[in-house]
Amino acid sequence: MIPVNILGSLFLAMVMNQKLRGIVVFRTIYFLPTIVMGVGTYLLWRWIYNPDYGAINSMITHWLPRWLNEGIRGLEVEWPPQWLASVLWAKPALMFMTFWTVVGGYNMILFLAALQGVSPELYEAADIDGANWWQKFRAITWPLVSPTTFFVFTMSLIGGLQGGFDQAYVMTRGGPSGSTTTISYYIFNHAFAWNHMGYAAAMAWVLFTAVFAVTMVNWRYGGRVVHY
Amino acid sequence: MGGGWSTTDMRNMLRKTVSYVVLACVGLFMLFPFLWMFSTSVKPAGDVFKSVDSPFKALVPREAQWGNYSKVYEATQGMGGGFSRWYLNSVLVAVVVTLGQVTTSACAAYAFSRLQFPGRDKLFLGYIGTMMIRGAVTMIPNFILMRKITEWLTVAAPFVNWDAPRVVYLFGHVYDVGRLVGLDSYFALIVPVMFSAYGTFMLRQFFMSIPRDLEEAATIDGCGLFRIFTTIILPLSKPALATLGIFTFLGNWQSFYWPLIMLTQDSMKTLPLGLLSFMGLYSTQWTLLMAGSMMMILPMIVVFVIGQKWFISGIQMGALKG
Repeated sequence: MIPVNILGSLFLAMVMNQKLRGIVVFRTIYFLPTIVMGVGTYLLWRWIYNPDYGAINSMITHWLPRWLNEGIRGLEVEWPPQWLASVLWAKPALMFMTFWTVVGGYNMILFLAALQGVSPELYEAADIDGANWWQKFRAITWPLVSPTTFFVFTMSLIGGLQGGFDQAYVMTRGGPSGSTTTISYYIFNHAFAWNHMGYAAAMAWVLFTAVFAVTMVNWRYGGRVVHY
Repeated sequence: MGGGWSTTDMRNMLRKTVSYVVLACVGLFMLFPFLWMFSTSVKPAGDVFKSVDSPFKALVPREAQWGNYSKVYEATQGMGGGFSRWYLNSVLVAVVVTLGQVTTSACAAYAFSRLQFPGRDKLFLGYIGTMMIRGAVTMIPNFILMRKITEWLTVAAPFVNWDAPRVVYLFGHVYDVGRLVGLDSYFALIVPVMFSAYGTFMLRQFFMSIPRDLEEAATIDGCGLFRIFTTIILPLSKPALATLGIFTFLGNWQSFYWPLIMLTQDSMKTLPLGLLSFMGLYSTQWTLLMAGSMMMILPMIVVFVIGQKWFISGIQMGALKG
């Protein structure tokens, strides 16, 4: 999911990196989910994912044409999905929520800063050479923001490895059938629900080692894995 | 545009229009959950369970029931003082932690950037190194420390009853304020998170960029180190202090894991925990739950909108550190 989130952030930053009026307003709106992320928004998404009366399933049942709904049900897929109560859909549901939370957040701000550092002359030169949109992206934008991409990727990886406790606790309790249990939620259960303090502390150290390894990779290669 | 439209103008216009359309669609996607939250929070309780057949009916309530907001307070009254008490706890903890972190970080950063003493840079490196050890690792030892601290203090200072929950009498009411230290205490919510290696690092970077000429002039005029700190360094560092303060406040307002393991009493809970126990009792009262959530996130939106200039520059500063 991390690549999708990162590409989304990069895309948004590229759209925003223009001389447009009111960009600050958009930036503020996009950043809001990151700011307020917490128990409040987890409750909100539980309500949105409510199988009977939530926003998403209301839209699916009432706004999608009947033949489409019937058609999907005909494929013997769970439809409309039970979302957080479903082994199949709980994880995608949390991923989608995470996408909403982070796509306009820190990563986008970092990409925006990186894009603003790209010299406009490069694009002008490319225009003269008759490069199209994709060629400009491939040859100029992507290589020049690659240090940021790398930084953002490793940071997301570090965050992803240790994160997810609050969601798991508030929204799904790690279920159904453990499908949304993250490492941090697992550690919490051992430590504070089942009182296996020693085992939990050992797991925390293993987790720390993994995170530390990623951090080291970030430090060592962060300056080098770039395309220029 | 006197002389007609050239193709470049046309293309620019088109590009701008497309950009705006994309930005607006994404904006709607970002805002929709908040609109849904707000509209649910003012709907009559039964209306959320009626099926909707048009987008308009789903988002715009039949009538605005502002009473839902006061109902949140009434419904939670029995839970250790309820929503108003949780709000008070959250404000208290977040404000004290924010002021504390900014103060301790600024003092430490001043020492690390201006005072000369043996082993200073090694000490700083060690302090920064603690950032590597993540919260997940220190959580369990910290918990055990907080659980045992009352026992230890009882041995060290037996004349104080460290284990007893305290109450405060105020305007003819009795308020539980938990223990002095340990589990179920404000101490546990505030003190362990009042120091920040990141904040110290950030402020030290900022202090290093302040030219020393001013301080030298002040020293000649007979200013001591403390006077220099309060009259020169701090006023010049307002943007950095504001950035750190906003980060700390927003982070602490949402803090969930640490209060969750520190608190058992309803009356000591902060908003996120309170909201969660509220959900435990009223799991289908979505209008009230959404009203509670609205009240919880509003202060953050206000703080963010006011302080976003510092916030955004703070993120970019943090990225440079790599």
